[in-house]
Amino acid sequence: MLPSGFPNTMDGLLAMLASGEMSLQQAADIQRQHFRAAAVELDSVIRFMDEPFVQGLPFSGVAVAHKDIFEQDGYRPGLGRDRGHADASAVIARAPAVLRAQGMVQLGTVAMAEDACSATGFTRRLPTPKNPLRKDLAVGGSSSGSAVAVASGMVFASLGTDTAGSVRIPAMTCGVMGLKTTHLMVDRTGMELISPSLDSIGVLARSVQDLGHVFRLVASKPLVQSSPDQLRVCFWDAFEELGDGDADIAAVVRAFAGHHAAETRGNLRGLFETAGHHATVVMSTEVAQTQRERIENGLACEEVRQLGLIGMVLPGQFYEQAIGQRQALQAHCLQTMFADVDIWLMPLQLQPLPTVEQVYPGASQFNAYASLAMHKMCGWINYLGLPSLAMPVGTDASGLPVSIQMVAKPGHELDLLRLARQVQDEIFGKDGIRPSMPSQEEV
Amino acid sequence: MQRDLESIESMFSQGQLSPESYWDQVASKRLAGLQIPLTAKESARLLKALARMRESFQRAVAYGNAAIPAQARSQPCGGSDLAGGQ
Repeated sequence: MLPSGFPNTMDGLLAMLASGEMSLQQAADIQRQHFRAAAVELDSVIRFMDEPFVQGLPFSGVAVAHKDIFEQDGYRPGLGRDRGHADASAVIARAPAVLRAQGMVQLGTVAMAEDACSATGFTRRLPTPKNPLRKDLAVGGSSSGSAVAVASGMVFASLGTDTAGSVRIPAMTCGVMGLKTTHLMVDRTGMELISPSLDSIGVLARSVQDLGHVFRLVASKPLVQSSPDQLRVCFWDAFEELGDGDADIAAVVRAFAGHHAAETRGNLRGLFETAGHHATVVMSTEVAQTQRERIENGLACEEVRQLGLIGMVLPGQFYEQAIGQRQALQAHCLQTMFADVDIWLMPLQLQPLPTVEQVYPGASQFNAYASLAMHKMCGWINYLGLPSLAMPVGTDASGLPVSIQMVAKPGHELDLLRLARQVQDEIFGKDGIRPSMPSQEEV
Repeated sequence: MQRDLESIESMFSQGQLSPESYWDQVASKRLAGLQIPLTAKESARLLKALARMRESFQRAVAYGNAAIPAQARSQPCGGSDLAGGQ
């Protein structure tokens, strides 16, 4: 377990290292020890790595761990199928490489849903990670290990990927923050692509500061910040407009929005459903292409097989229409949704956090609606290419986190971070969300 | 089968097939042409999913026609990232 005085943010650790309160060796030992111990308890690590902690770089001493979807030096990722394998031709993917160059040490690769194709972290061929909040709760996917590693304090931050919610859903289920970046904002070199038109690299962390540090480093396009001192924030009450969601969860979200949004607006259902439909068409068609050989050879997992089969049977016109209308719909979105709004607050979570028995395949109380509710609000955002930040903003009657998503214009991640920082400081304090595995020792 | 599909696609493009008829013909041809053995349960689930997608496709077309200027609608804009990726 982490010692009680161990800082919760990268800035806190860097300050302790700079002041001499903690040595680099101590920081390395504490983090490696906790990472290994929690990995056993939570089944979250795929492969341990022995990268050295080195002095003199901006983030020297900071530990991270990333989804097992990126090429590493001489190693291919396992993609939730297995633990990967050595391959001399593999190069380190760009995003993890940028972090490493700044001194962040990758302690290992962490679990993911097979082929990044499930809203839960359930895996058939590897241990399924456990939720640090409560072990009977499901872990969302597909960046499941990233959320578990961050929530349990194993690392400060983790890179994940989001095709239809795969950063936001696991963040939601584990009560941490997840930033799905603008499509193609982060260079995907060295990342395995499942649906190239939708895949985005994202970041999970317990604090907005750490989200910001990692995001600024990996961003490969110019960042934009809205000029108004006061961000124009609006709430879409999708609970009401879609007639969906749990009443108690809706009440928590509405109470939060009442404090942080200038107004509530509706009339987004048409865009939501259209973009959501196109997202499904694009994803299923592209999965059918990227995974065709595995599906035909009987090697694909059930989720990939079902999605890919749909893609194989869909008329080609559907995909052409979905891709062909994308820019026009994105322009329409900017002209309507964002004409006078910087950030939309909207539901991410529709139901109380589901249990393992409700949403893992083959579970005794499997509930198809609970499973759908995990990702229903996500895919349309990927189709429109927008950045979205998932964040817990309250708790339900059981004391479990309730999360929303904040959505901005393409390239406006800094606006999201600015608003999220205000929210974080009000709700969690300036150091963000505390790890779910409490500290037990003194430094 | 490929020729059949191209013929169906062509008839649909020329407005000679309704979306429903187009859909049913393409889906059944493609399903029959899959080189992957499906269980009866899988086939039924697939057909159900496809039926849902046909409905949402019609709603999406209606929304697109209302929201997107005709000029933008008739010109392919943007491309798939599938071929290139990064």
